Amino acid sequence: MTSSKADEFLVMEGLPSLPGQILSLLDELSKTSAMDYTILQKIQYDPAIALRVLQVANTPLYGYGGKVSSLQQAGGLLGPGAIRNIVLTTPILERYQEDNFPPAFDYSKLWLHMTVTAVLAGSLGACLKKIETDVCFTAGLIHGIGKISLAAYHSKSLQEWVRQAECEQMSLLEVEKRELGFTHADLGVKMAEAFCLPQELINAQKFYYASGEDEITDPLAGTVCVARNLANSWGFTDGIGNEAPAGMDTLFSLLNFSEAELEEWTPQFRENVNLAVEAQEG
Amino acid sequence: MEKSQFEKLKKQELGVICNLLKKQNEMLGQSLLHMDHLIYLQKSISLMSLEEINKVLADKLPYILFIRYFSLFLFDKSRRILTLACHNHPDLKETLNLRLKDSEVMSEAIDSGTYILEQDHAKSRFFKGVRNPLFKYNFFITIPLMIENEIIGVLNLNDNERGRLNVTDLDYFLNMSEVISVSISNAQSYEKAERLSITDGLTGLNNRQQFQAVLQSEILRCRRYNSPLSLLIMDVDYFKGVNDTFGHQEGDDVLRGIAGIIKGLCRSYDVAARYGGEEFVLILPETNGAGAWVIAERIREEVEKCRFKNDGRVHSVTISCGIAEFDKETTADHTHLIRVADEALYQAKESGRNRTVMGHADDIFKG
Repeated sequence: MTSSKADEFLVMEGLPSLPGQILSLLDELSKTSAMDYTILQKIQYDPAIALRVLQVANTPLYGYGGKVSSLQQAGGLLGPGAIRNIVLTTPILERYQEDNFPPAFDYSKLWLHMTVTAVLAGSLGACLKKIETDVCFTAGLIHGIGKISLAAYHSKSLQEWVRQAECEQMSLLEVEKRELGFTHADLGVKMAEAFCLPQELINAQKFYYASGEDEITDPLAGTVCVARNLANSWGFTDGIGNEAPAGMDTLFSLLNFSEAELEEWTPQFRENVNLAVEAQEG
Repeated sequence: MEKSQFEKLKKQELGVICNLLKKQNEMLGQSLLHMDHLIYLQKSISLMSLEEINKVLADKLPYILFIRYFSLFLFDKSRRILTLACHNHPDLKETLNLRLKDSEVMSEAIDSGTYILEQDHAKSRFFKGVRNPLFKYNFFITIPLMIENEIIGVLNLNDNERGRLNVTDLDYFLNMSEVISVSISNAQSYEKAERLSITDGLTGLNNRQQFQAVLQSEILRCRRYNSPLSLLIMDVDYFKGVNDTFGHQEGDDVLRGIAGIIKGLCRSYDVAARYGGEEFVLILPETNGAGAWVIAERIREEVEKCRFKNDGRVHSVTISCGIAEFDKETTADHTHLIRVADEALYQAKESGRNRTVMGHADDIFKG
């Protein structure tokens, strides 16, 4: 990756979120009674706000700089006041400006893809019992931060690269590499490093968009890759370009489980995904 | 996507953004108000006197916290006693001491070190269905006031205008309680340091420095108002023998015992102090030599009667007393008065101990 070039694409204030998401969170924050505090359950459906929460929790200010790997841990550390301020200051993603016509992407679909991947990564983590479920969930939720950043802040360029990838029958990553010198996956790593996320989340970022030929050695990244493949195959794609899925055989071998086991767990996974989709759309 | 559909979605989104901005405006406004109140409270109670802090809290805390009623108790850890420091309840006594076990809710907050919030006062296990008619709404919150895991008090909050509490309110209360804890703890430390700087650590009487400062000011007062003043110096007889026979611990107990007798017998405006090793002094304002003699003899007799127990052995001690009476004409300053009393004490020792001798300036300063 060309560092200087990627640095130009870094937005240190974090990712913007959908206005409806922010409003729903603010409503929740003002309604919530102290006895049934559910704000974290809402944040876990928003990759942009989740990333901001992790970013703040991993600053040295709270005493756990670079050590907070899950959203649940971050929420407990920050408390409602700090979370409220994070939500209040989240930038708004403006989807319908005049120069965005025709709209580049369906951002709701992108958000839903991240949520479903998070739910599947968390569910898989619970079955595999290798990595903490909450960490798997969080890694799944923020796996696409590089892509979200490009989609939010450079939508026209990304739209063009997606078009080129389709025309030239290349993957989006290849086109980005050719045009930018780095990919949205590289940008994700750069963002995770710049936001001082824990090393396990930075390491995992490196392999989320691995394709069939790549060798994945990181179990957390492997878990998210399986989740992402499942999300795509169940129709919850991010809607932005084609990417070759990581080879499932390699992933089964890395994570030490079989296709038969995955089939056995699938009904529960589907139920978890349906609940999340209902919660996000509701 | 058709342009018309784009425009429709854009309009919908603008509506959402408009609501979002209203909400943000409301919440940011509330945050700013909380911030203002936090700064105001911090400034208002940055005081060294606990009494002053309590006054400010009683006046302002309900407005700062947006609550109707509060009470703040200070916790004495060694005695496990809660003392009412301030409140705004119309029917609560101004002074109230509770044993910790007498208040279940405060006891649990102190023992657990965490706040207790219940939405329904009537259903709470702490109040067993009993409702306070003063409160319009049912919620209550009890917050332990802590400094570095040390609990120094408890803050009880009841009632607000909205009739409910949310997470933001709770977070705000907890932040405010930390500011209050810091101020109270600072004032307590300051008052303790001030007390220690004038107090003898063993006996709890005033120390030598404080004694001299008080004596100087008393002499000035006597000169101004032409009022009588006497000084009494007392020394334990054969105190070295007590230490040698029974040990230094027993020697300390004897000094504490004598200090207790002096405190018990002197009047509220007399000033008792430990002058040195086994020497005590007593400043007796509005008292002439004859009056001082009576007080000295009373103390001497009480000490003589007192029995000290050590490892099953009972022993007693005696004291010798020297008195100096302030004389506007002959007493130059406080050192002069001390010297006269000291000389009288020497004479009491020389003439057999366990007695009181009246000092005379002429004996020392003649010629």
